[in-house]
Amino acid sequence: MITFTDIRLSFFLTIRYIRGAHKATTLLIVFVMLLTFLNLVVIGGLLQGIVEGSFKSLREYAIGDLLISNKEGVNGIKETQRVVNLLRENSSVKGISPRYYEQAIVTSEKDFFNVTNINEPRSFQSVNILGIFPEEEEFVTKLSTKIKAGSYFSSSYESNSILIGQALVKKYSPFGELALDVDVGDYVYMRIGNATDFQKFYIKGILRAKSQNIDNFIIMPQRTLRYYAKNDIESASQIAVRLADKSLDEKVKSDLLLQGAGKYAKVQTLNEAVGSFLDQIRTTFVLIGLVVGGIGLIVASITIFIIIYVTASSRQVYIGILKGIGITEHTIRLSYIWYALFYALIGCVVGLLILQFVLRPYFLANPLDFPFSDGILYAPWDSVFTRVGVILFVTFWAGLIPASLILRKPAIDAIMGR
Amino acid sequence: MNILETKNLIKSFHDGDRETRVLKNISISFKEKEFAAITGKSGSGKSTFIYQLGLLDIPTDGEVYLLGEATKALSEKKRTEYRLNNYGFVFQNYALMPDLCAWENVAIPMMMRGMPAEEARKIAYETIDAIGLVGKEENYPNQLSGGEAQRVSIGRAIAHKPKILFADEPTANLDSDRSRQIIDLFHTLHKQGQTIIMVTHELEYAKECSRLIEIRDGIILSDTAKA
Repeated sequence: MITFTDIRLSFFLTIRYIRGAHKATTLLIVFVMLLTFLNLVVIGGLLQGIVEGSFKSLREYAIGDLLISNKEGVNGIKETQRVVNLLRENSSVKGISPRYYEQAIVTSEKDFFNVTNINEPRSFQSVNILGIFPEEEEFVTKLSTKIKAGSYFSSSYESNSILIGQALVKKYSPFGELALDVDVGDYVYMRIGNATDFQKFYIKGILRAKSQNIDNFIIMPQRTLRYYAKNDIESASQIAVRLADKSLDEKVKSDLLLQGAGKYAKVQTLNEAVGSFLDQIRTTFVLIGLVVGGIGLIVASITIFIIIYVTASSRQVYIGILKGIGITEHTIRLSYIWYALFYALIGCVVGLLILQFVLRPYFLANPLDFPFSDGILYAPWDSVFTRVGVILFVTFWAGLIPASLILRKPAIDAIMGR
Repeated sequence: MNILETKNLIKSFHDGDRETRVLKNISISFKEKEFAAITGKSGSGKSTFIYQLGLLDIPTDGEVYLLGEATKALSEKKRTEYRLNNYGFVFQNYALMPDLCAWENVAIPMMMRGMPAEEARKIAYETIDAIGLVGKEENYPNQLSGGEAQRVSIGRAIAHKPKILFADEPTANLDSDRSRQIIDLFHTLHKQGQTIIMVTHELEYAKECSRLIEIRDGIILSDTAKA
């Protein structure tokens, strides 16, 4: 059984080992442990950050904290105004943005006139139109901050002005050839909903929210859409809701359902609205991160094992002497475990400092630019400290096993170097 | 009462099928406050004998009794505990820990016995001063001469006041002046009541001891006590 004396004396010895160790070797081992920490935390954090970034984009710029949409088999949200009123009465709701969807076909002005028959444009695309109340939308998604070129809708109503998602614009789209060859200031012709004729629209801005819900859409004021669609669009297709505190999503949803909103619409939190797709990607990326980090961890544990084994082997005679003069095996074994843990702990502490003061600020200011998200460094503290725990656990064994192997030798054989 | 005793002590080493019997049926006893010298030629078995007495090795057959208690069947943990509480060791090559300074080397056995570090440090300082190394307490082994290192080694062996002090060729690596100093130190300790069992091949020093045991080919050739 390990006694307090074992712990105290083993610390005493460990401090002396460290003090006597070669400084370059100490730095090298700490560096290896630092890389292990970064490999485990940062690689996984970046992979997961791609998904979290995508999730964040959806929350911030596309969906909000709650999404209210039409029930299965029903067009639009029945009693939209009633649902809106319920939302307005809820003190946790900070912003409400009813949205209206329509289908349209669109073509650039150039293509529109480059036809032999006005009813059969050579190049057209089927697109989704999103009708919004620009000012209300700002309270929910701050779309104005996601204008890549041009500008957002002004406070005064601008008929026939549209914003166009970057995926639909050849210049910015990853699927360039299929997109429209247009830019800010150009005109497009669109036939919306049940309308029979094309109308001319001015491209006021290009949106890049890194969310398919925005980047694949043409957005126009609800009033414009209503005017041209020739459909009954009294019922909103969905209502995006921003809450004062996103953690209240489940509570607000319950409140709404209790108040009867469920009769008219489907009420979903962001997690539910996004569905399992992002969750599956997240799980996959977490697994990839763990595999990559795990390999790093194995390499580091082998490194520590070798270091402790070589250190203990080269001190075999001294280990024998310690045993000879009555120092317990527990004390000697613990001294090498502390020795290994010292390197791991210093590596982790340096890693934590780099994470907090270098990497987090860097990736916050310079997120990785992925087509579908701003890749952030996702490293919540509980996850970081779990990984630190894993490193220390592995290091413990990487110190214990070689020390125990050396200690198995009888004292006299160790003293005699046999 | 004998402080240490062996009965029919046998130690053999095996190299494949070949058995080399180094100690052959040795029965001997030691009393408190003796200063016994074990001497013999190289390969006679004197070091192997002291390792059995010091519980550093396990005999092939026979028994070692410490304060009347049989020790052969003791666990390694118990043997370590017995060594700590009853023995002090001085090895031929000083055997100081290179990462520890003089006082730290001396303090280790005391700390292992549960003494607080500050108290152990104080006693270590006093011990080092008593063995004539005033001002060397903070020196590391590589900053000490051979004689000084061996004195620190003796300091480590006696600081926790062991019942028996074992010394295995303590003067082997020292010149004659320093060897003399070490032997004189042992005599001083012996006069203070310390039981000492010393292995040496230097007959001159062995003859100065209160008891002279000569080993040849694994048996005790002679055992003479001074009057």
